[in-house]
Amino acid sequence: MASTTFIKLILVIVTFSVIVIWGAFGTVSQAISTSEVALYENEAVYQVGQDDYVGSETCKACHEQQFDQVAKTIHGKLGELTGWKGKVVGCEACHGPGREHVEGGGDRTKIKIFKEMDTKAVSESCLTCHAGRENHNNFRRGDHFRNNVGCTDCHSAHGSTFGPEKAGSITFANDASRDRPTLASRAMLIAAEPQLCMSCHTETKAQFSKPFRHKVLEGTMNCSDCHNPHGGFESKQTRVALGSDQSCLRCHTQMQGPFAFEHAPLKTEGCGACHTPHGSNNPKMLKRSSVRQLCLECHTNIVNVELDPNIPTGPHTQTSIRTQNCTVCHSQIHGSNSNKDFFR
Amino acid sequence: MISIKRKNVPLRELCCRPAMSLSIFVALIAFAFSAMAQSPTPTPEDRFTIKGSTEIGARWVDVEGSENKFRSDFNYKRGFRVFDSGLTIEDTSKSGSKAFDALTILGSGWGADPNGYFRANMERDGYYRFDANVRRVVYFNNVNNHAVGNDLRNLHNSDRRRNFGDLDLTLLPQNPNIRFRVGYSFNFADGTGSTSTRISRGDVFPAFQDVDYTANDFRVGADGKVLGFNLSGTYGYRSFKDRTRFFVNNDPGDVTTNTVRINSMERNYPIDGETHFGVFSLNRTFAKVFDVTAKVTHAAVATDFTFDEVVNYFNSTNVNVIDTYNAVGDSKRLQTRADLGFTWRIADKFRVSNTFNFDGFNINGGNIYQFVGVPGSTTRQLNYTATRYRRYTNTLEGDYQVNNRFGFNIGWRYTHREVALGISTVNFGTSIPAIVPEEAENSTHSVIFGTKFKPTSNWTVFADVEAGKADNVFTRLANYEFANFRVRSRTHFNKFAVNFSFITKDNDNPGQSVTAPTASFVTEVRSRIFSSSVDWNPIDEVSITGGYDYHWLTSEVSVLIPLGGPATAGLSQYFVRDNYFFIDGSFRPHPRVGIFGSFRWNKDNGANVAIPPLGSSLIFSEYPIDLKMPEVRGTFRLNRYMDWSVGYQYFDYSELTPQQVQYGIAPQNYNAHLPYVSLRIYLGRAAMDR
Repeated sequence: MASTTFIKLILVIVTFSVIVIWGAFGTVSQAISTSEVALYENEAVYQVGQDDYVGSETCKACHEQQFDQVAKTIHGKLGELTGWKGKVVGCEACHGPGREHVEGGGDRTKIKIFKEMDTKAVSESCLTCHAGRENHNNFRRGDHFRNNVGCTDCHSAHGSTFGPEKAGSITFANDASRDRPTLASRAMLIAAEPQLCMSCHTETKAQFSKPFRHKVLEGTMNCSDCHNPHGGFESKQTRVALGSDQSCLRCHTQMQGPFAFEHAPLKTEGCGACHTPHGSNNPKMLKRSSVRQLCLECHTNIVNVELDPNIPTGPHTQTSIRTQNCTVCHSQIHGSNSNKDFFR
Repeated sequence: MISIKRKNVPLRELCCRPAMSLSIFVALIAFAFSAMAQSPTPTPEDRFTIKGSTEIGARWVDVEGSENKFRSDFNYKRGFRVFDSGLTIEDTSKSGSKAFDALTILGSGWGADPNGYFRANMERDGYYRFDANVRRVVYFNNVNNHAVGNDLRNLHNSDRRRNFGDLDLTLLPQNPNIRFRVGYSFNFADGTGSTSTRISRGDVFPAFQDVDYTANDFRVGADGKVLGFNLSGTYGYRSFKDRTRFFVNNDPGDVTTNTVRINSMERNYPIDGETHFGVFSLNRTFAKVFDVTAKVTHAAVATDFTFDEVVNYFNSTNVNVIDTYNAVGDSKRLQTRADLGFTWRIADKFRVSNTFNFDGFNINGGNIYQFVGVPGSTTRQLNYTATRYRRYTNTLEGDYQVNNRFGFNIGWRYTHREVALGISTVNFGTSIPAIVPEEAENSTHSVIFGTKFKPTSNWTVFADVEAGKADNVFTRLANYEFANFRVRSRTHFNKFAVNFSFITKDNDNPGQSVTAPTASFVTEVRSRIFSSSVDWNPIDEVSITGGYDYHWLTSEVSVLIPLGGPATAGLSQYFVRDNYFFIDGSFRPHPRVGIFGSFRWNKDNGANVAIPPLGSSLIFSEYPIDLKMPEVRGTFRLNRYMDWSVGYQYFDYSELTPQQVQYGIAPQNYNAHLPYVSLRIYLGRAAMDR
């Protein structure tokens, strides 16, 4: 009986909360509310009294180059629709109604010019349509947004314009082949990965050139395979694998376990506790060249390891070369099903 | 050296073999040609816009010095290769029955290259989008290990091939009200390798591996909009199995300090597992000012395994002994994550965000274990472990945009973690004691500050800092005091760009030990990274980019170590002093000639401090190396459809040897010469536009 009452109480609270929130905020997440929507049919025939909109063909009269460029993109294709998500489509979807701008002889103060807006305001404009996908849902709480890196720092709403083709390395991918087709143009990126990301994160180019590295410069991997540039709930905007695992386990599946005997930091701290994911001079991309140093940073008291005070000191003596390398004996350091000390 | 052993593979695995992928790629190229050659109604030029190129060539590899190290670093092989290829086909017709609006295929690294990929995107706006990403990595690792002294054999090495890929189909991708997703991923690994195995309670031998690992993922989901809420749900399933075999067929040679001789070892260790997971997320923006996102994930992972090992060896008194190890058991992990974030745009220039995260899992595993050694040494045990983890994190941030050129943010992060670990080993015939877990919990706080400002319209500066205590409750008993600072400068002119970054990370961990409460165990890690790059494109025919990075890192750990007697207070140090310089240049001295040259130089100088003798209480490690990678390439246009390229690449690697001097291992230096030729073939519009 008590549980039934509790459920009823929850239902009442939830219902009441929904009503309050709805009443407080009223409208849904649209760039322009339904009553404002300018649905137009091809040749800029406007409905619902939207006299402020002039249509993309009018924009073309002065901005033909931009119009032609946009027409090749998926943004341009939206112009062929009568409306998308109940919103205005075409140039004025982003730049706002253009009648005053046109009647003012191209008055720059009467139209939205994104180059003159702050980054967050630009992003808010993009998010009126692009929010709502799980990939984008946390953009406003991501590291990029917080540090004023906005949509148009990586994307071009008018479509990609890559430069002429250049000769380039055959071993390391670089921006020498800009004119060749890539998926970057589909995403309307201003440059292809990883060059785009490295234009700010300059230190990663050195990291990906180390002897032991993930093959990002070679093109086998992209930055966005592991990171979500649009933000997320994870540290460093990393993606997750299988719903809840860290992104490394998407490819390094053998390490996912669970093992009967877990090396707990793998789950509690992550692979980055011991490995440098971008690249390292050290084999296996370890953070330290000596395995011993790496282990000692946590297991500072190897005489009596914290979890088992009964471990004898003999096998750990540092006068023997063999016992200086912990993983010679503790070979299954990622976890074991047979031995609690990771011996086999 | 070890080599990949070819095996019969199931038919389902063939789909990801390089030859098959290459065939698909060639077939699509052929499709492009056929599309160009179709009947004139409508003319192919009218209907399809085709643009692409593919590069095929051959490379020679000549390595002087340590080929194992070269293969561990780069693994480039001599032979035929297909690389840097791409094709886009756009169907511009208004036909309602067309298969796609755009098809893009990219591929590189097949043949003699160790890292190959194949990506495809095919979509018809409003109907579907299909993405494929298939990769193959041939991973080789065989580098010297100081732990085996003068024995140059590495105990842990591998020569494996991993094929993995993701195939995703989205139906109605632009539909605002409902979208459907299905996906499949595969991950297959095979090859050889070795690990170390411990015999007779101390001696160590290399155990060879015949790797056989398979994982298959399936996922299905839907996104939609209901009552203004953007909803997304996904269910996924992964099955995986590991049939890797471990074996020693004869005595591979003693490790320096071994006292026993091994005759054979055979370990069969089949592992099967599966993962079920579900993700549900919700998002809505109220009145364009209040954005809310919630996400809940639940995953259940389970494995079961059997472990059978037989070791035949002569012990230190030359008695032939057969040890058998058997274990059977399982393990389960249940994990739930919940995230809630909101952003409230209080004013056009002022926002407040809050993000709450919860992560909790329980892992329970165990086995029934039996060891039979010399007569009378039988051990039967029940082992059981339990891990419980809970983490709560809340981040509150506010950001203010003062004007178009200056904005800043400030935040506070709170984390609470609880970890409990329990392990029980019970000999058969004895009573089972209750597990008394080791428990730890802590709460930490940190502050965040960041800013972006534009001193001029061409110059942007980003800076952020986070300082406080991190949540490493488990790895060390005390908190992790950290301060991370990062500043980036970007200056962009029309033909010229200069970027700088400077990143510092200070981490202090005043550790404690329950078994040595009066000792101090301090870990201090200091890291500094300076990075710079310059891009200069004075004219279309000239492009030059260069840069310099310096990474400085010092790690010092106070330790208590045994040195053949009572434990001694010591210090363990690690140093990085790494310089990286690069310059790439592209020139087009003639419309038919392109030249590319590059020089990349990675040099770690080491700390230049005296190396302590072995057995000292001062443990010292660094890895000074010198790696130079020059390359030059000339490209000559033969005609509209073809370019011919010839080039040369060189790798010069040397180890600056303190560790090798200390441990008596020869440096693994090498020089590698890689001359190559290639032919690039242009298709469709890519040829027409040249």
